[in-house]
Amino acid sequence: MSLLTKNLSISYQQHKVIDSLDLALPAQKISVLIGSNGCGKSTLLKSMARLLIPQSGAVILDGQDIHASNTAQIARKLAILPQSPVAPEGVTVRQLISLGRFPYQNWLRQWSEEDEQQVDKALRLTDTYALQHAAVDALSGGQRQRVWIAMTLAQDTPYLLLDEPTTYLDLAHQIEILELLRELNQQQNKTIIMVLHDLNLACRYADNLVAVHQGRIYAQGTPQDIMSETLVNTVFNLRCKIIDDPFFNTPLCIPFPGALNADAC
Amino acid sequence: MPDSHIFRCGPLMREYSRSVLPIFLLCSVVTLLIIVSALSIGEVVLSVPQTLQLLFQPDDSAQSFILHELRLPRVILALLAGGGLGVAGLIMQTLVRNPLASPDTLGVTTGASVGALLWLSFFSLKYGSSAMPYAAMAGAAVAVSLIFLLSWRSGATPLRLVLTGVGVSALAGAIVTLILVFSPLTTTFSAWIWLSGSVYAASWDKVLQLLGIYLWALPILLVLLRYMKILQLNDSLAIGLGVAIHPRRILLLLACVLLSGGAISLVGAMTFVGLIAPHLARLIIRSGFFSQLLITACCGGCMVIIADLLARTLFLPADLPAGIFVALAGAPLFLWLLIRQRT
Repeated sequence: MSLLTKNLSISYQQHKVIDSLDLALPAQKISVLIGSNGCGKSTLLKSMARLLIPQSGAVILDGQDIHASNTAQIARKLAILPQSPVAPEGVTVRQLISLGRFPYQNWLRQWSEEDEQQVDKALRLTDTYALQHAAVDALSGGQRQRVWIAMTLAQDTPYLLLDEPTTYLDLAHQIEILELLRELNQQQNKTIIMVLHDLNLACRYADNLVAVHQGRIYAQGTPQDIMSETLVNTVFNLRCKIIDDPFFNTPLCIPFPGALNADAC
Repeated sequence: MPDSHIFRCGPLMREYSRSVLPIFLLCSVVTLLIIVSALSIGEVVLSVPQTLQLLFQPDDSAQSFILHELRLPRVILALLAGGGLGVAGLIMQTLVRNPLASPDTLGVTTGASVGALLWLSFFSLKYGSSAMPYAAMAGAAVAVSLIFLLSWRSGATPLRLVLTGVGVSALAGAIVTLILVFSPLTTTFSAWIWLSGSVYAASWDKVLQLLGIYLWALPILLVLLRYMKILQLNDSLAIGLGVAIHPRRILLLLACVLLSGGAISLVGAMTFVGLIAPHLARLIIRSGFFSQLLITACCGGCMVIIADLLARTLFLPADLPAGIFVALAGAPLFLWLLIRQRT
């Protein structure tokens, strides 16, 4: 079981966003991609989930190039929750989560017992069972995000990729979602790869932190190993002080105002 | 769904909503009632028992001829055309995720109009008008392909499809006007009737022709309808769920072109049905794409039958194009739906 990129390059029109990047992500761990806006971390995540086609290089999932494999087969191994997904109008929670079973269905077999069990399991794991007949439009932001995560869980995949799953949520709901993801990692052995903006939460929840800078990997390792003032200076062009979190013993970044230099990243 | 019901028989497994069956039965009964009324009412009024008796036991009377050769093909053509336009509208609205999408906004109607009018104005005097439906289909196909090519940028996103659709429709509309201006006076009048949409000269031949075109769309719909619930999500979600979106979107749009282009080529530019029938169906039923499709077909068919009934009876002995009444009733209905949604 492994997910890695080999010599991956992606450009939008003329601009090269990811530049011949080699990255191997550990299985059954939480990996968090960090980096400044426009550094390519979201592009990297999307290409790892075959939402973007690379100009050169490959993404290898369990030994297979994902852009050359059957897409439905990939969907049984890897689920992606993109940024700001949109639910169809009037759809209920259960209906939306049921869509996660699509990779397992065919023309004859459109609703098996396995489908039903997996949807029930996803509802229970995300604590949305009581909401299952509610309309998705009527839910709060935090509940809605749990429902989307439930949909990816119904896909029953070892890999779960999330693009900024905590954006637009208040701090309490951010913690709630991240705790849920950690639980899924520890109890269901899911390999989780996500993009986060909050450095301190990234340090607290990541087993493996990946700092992306100018389309390349600047550093990869445990937060304790790689988090440093130099990293934040370079990757975010931000002055800061790194201290030890007194409760969780993970690195804590105290930012200071004022950019270091005007033209980084 | 609280009322969801599961059907499993060997490898065949389906989930459906329990409320679908009664709703569909009710819609079928209403549609049948409307068909029987449309068959009975006209310049020669038949009683309902008389209509039913003649329907199953035709005789040599004039009433029987009127029923079997004039009214029945006309009503069935109206039902088929309206149903096809409605279904095409529903699929288009879902595919491009825009409730304003319809055969009219995605270029089918105006494209078919260009094809039909070109034939009518410049070739029909020489070669007859029997090939006009094919000219209309060709026009629709050209317009939709043009829209697809212009909006293609490593995939055609729904928003680009709608915007180019509006642009190409406007262009085709201008060409239609241009053809009308330069066409010989003898054909201008028939052109206007065609442009308003009419089931006036319906015949069993036309019914069979339309059924023949629909038969091509049927396998696409049968195989690909289950993808509709995935294709109405954002592209990235759909790809994540393991669906190769572009080939399926193209095939489903092709089915839409066959359904709506076929209908338009035989009854003329009947606008508004493709836009409104899906919205009417959504008032009746909200769950399940397949049930929505069946109800939409009923709604579209009934709309055109009723419009044609009004068109041929209100101003007797004048027989007006049904399309006028579809638009007259459809536009206020559409506005009402919009206003209702806001509150």
